[in-house]
Amino acid sequence: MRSQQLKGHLDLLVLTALRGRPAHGYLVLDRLSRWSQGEFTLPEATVYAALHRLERAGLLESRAVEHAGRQRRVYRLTAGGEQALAGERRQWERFAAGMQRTLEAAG
Amino acid sequence: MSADDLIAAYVVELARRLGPSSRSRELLAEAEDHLREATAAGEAEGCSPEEAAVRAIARFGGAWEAAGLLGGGRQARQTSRRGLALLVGAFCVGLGALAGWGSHVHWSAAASTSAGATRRAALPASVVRTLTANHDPVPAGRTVALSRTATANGDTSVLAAFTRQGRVCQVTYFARPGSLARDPAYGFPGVDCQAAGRYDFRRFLPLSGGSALRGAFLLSGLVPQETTSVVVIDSSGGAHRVDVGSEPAVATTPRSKPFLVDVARVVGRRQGVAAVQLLRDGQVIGTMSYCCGG
Repeated sequence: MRSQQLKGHLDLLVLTALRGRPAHGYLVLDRLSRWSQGEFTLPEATVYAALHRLERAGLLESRAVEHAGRQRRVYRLTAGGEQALAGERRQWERFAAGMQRTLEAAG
Repeated sequence: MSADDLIAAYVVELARRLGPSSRSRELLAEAEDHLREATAAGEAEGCSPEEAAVRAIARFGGAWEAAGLLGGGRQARQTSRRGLALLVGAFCVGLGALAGWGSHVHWSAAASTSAGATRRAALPASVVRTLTANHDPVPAGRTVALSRTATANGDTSVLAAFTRQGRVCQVTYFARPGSLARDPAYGFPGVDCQAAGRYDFRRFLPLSGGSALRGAFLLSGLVPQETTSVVVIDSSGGAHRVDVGSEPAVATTPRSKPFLVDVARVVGRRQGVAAVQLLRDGQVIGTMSYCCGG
């Protein structure tokens, strides 16, 4: 999928990747790639920018942990993030269903 | 250039574009952690460390783009010619690593200035080590297009190419302190390696159709010891051979080619002749041969 198409849904994807599973940025990207079976590929810095933006918005929180002698930042959803994810997901499901019906109606 | 050096060089460039701040330090640490993890994953898939690092960096995005996305400052939005040249140079260093040529990045004299010290303070430790280990000053007003280590005469020296206003203006040899190159038995005759023997291109080598250098490499061990040949590839893919003699006066023999070249590599040497492959998009699109003295 083209990265421009994905960018509109990036927040939903990142929040989904972190739902119930705290992760660092690389793992978020790995999950998105695996779960989409390679369909979702973005310039990776874009995902980090989304992580930072969502953290500033209070939807994520992060903490630094030591890993292999390096500082690693691990992100997790906040309660607000859980709510936002649920809302974004409902919106997406309505959108996807509407799109599907439209395409089917057009034959 | 090792995978560690490639990552460190990228982080340095990202740091330059982000500017010094405590926030930048966190971003750089995060980027470095990502690149090292991605490199390790690439190695697990069978890539060489260098190839894995180059791929990891490419996927992360160009330093200017990443800095912009990660909330970089003014410098992130400046796509100056100098920045572009540095970027292309760094990219070519990566390509050079893929082609099996060791590389070595030099950083500017700012590393020893107070401004440089401020910048260093915001860098991860591994990057600081890189900066402090590579402190050769860049000539004023010039841009480092790339630098590369090359083994010649049983010793390792560093080739650094500089550009100014879109032209290669200097190629310099740096011999490491204490290196064998300081010993006349192993060094380059006529070259004062202890004083970092520097060859100046008195005549500029024009870069056709662009402002940056794509690549350069030494044909070391090919030509008589008093001469070193350098192949320079410009941003439009023109390939030039430059012979550097032991005297400051330098013979320049540009040989432009009408096709684009992404990378060149020496594929064989025999009896003083080197065969060089020119590649674009991973495909060999031409070969060039170089003979000593020719």
